[in-house]
Amino acid sequence: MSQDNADGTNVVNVLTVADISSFVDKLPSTSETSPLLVDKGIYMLAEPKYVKSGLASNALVLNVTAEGEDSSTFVRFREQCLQMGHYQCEIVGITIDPSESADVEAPALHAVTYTELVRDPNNLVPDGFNHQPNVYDIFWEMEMENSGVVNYSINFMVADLTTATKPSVVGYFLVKTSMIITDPQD
Amino acid sequence: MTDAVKNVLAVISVDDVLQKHGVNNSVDAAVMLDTDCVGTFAANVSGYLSPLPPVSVSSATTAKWVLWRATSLTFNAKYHCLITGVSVEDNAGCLVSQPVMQWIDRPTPLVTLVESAVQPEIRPQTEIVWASEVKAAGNVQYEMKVKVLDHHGNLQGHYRLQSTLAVN
Repeated sequence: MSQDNADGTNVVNVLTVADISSFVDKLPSTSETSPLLVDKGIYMLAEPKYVKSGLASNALVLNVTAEGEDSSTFVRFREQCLQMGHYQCEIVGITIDPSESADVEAPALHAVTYTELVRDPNNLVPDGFNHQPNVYDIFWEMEMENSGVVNYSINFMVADLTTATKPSVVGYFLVKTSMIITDPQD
Repeated sequence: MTDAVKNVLAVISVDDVLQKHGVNNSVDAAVMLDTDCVGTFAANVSGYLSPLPPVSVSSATTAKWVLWRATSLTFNAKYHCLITGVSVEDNAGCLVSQPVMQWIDRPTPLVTLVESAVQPEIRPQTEIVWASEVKAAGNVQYEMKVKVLDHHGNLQGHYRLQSTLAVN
């Protein structure tokens, strides 16, 4: 099972859900180059063919159906913070361990725009939405040529949104995780 | 500022839901989702979301409010998941009342252009959550009804999910 782009390539969406409260008090690093390793409070989910990992250290096993011999799988990462309005988390880097990973291109940052549907507080009718165009959805994407195992690290920044009028950086954190991409046709 | 809040987030794999159940247009017969296509998460945090009403009862629990929200695991560019109702089975008497829709102005980071410089700043962004005030610790069972729209605003179906929440 796979989600197809218009050109027939496979796309896997990975969402990192972060419970910031469970690790934010662990003397975080303020250096992006030496983030603090965390091993709890991070959950990984992926689709298509829904997969949920209770801990980031557990491998996500993703079933991908190859569309042809030359097809690639594009894995897209984005993040979601559980503490809406208090903390913001942003992936600032994804590093592949090349010694223990299948053939994979280095992840890079991408952005698409979409139309957000926003409810109008002054017009509380059912299905009363305003369409807000050109909202950015930013994600990291890596391309895999074949099925296999990928060991990787996600470096993310946590900011506190309750401090004055500008976000204050709480710290940088690192989570090590892995995924296994399988081809059910094999 | 509001006292501590317990955040509940439902993440729905909409592609999986549509492949498994197809489009369900009946609001009165919303399809129940299994845990093989939806994940639920809960976590406490303190001191934010000022538009919420002040708490009306004293409570020994950390969380004074429970807030429910939902998101699509698929990119926002493709689907939107909108909560149309949350009902709670509260045999332990944890909540003051059934959840109701609330508007909150959550602090949101934005990038603005000041003259020629790009600067980050925080602005409130209005968002709907479903909220219940907490009065005691315990477990509650809840059912969330969700409407899924595609990026054109077209209905992709009505669905519901159930889970248990520990209020503390």
